[in-house]
Amino acid sequence: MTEAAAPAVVELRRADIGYEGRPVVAGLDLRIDAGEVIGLLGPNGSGKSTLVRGLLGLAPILGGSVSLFGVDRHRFKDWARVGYVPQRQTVVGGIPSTVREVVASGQLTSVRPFRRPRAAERAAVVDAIEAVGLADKAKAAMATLSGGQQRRVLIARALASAPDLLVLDEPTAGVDSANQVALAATLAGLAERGTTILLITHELGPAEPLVTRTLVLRAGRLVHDGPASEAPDEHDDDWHHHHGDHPDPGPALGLEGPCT
Amino acid sequence: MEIEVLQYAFMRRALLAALLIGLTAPSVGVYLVQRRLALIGDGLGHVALTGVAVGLVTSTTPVLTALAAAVVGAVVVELIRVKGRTSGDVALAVLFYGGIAGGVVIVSQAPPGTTVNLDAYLFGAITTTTAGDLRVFAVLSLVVLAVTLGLGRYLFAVSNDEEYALASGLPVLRLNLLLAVVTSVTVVVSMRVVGLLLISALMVIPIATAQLVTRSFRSTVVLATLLGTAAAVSGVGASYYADTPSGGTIVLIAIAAFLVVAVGAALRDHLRRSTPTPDADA
Repeated sequence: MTEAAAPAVVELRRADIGYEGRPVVAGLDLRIDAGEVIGLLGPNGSGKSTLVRGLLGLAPILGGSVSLFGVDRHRFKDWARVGYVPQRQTVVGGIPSTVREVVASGQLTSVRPFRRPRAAERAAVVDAIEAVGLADKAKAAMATLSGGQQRRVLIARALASAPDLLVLDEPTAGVDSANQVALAATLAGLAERGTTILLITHELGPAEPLVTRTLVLRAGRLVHDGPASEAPDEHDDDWHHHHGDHPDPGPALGLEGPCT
Repeated sequence: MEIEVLQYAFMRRALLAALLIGLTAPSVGVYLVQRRLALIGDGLGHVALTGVAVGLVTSTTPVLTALAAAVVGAVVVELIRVKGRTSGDVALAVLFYGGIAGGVVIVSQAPPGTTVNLDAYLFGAITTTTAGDLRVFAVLSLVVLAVTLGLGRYLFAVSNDEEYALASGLPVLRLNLLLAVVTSVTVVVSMRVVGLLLISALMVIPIATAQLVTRSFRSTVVLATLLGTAAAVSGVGASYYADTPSGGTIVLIAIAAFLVVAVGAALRDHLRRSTPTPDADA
């Protein structure tokens, strides 16, 4: 595959991304190709979230260029190809809603207004819920789910539009190890199907075997970009933050599909 | 069988207006409650009072001037909400109290001989809905329901997680403005029978009641609409027999229903906890 033949899934050229005119991420060059599974690491405030928010149109691009699937982000329209799992926990609103309702809200760019969803669209919602191993909870109220299960619902919501690029911001923060293992299994299934994954995290945990490339940001600049095996040793450096003990890596991942 | 209240044309109009309120107010209110903006309808009612006053002073139909004021107020509120996060509530307070103060002051300038029953505008009355009002309300209600039913999935997505909706490429600002405008339209539909100070109650209380016993968004909307319609129609009827202001009567009925369901839900939860494990102390 040559660069000319297939546009990069994500391409940043000397990109500055920030807020109110002040770049948090400065002069970043980065290319992510189809099928890569990227672990994006770095301490709090290093610009990890700002970087992905810039990709998603949630943070302004102050300089340079950012493109998705070969199209400049400002002109990019095909948002169904991008799935986003935010870090924030906002799934429980003021009104009861079921897992299925929240997941269905992830496919709106493909569903037309003033029309009932088609059978294929409803099936995509069911598939997305199955992919995160919550089929038995589809009709349950969000408020009755654990934090880890709610996080998996957010991943299903991102999957409902069958994205080619999945961006996850700290999906495992505050999630117990059983749910981390379930989540890694979901990601393994997606990676197998060729979905490009950009995973922001403090610790790769059970997802570590999937990651094909590790990026480390510090103070808005890329300080490491290489194969996962060459990631800096966690305990050598100050970018590493503990959230309790290191989770048990869990069983071998990849082929057994989602588990709960 | 003759039903006494239906013999009078004004009562038939009031009951039809109540039906429209019962259908529209909860269907808009559900998105307001979901975004924790439950009191926005109240504020827009305040702003609409200035519109009513302008209508009375200039001898224009108050329903239309109230609609204009409420729509402008709604757009301003939404733009304030988008712009400044910290000073937002202060700006809203200025707008709301400005709305009611402007209304009271402008009404005082009405030409001599104009009889102004401000109470009817503030708290609702069954005798004030004209045939012309009812036609306007019917059209406005259709607009409201077209938006809340036709674009419900989008409004749900934006209300449930605005940032995610933005990242999904939805036109979030336009949807928010649309919801704000539809809220102000609902305020105007409700102004005759429920009154400008009590409108918000029918956007919020039936929702609060329904969500005590529902677990999905859709069932919350359906049940709240039934509850809202029942409260509005029975409130207008009770107002006729008891000779009470209709808005207050409707709201008290809605609150009574909320209390009954809340007690019922608490009892149900208590029984559920204690029956399957008889030895448990809780």
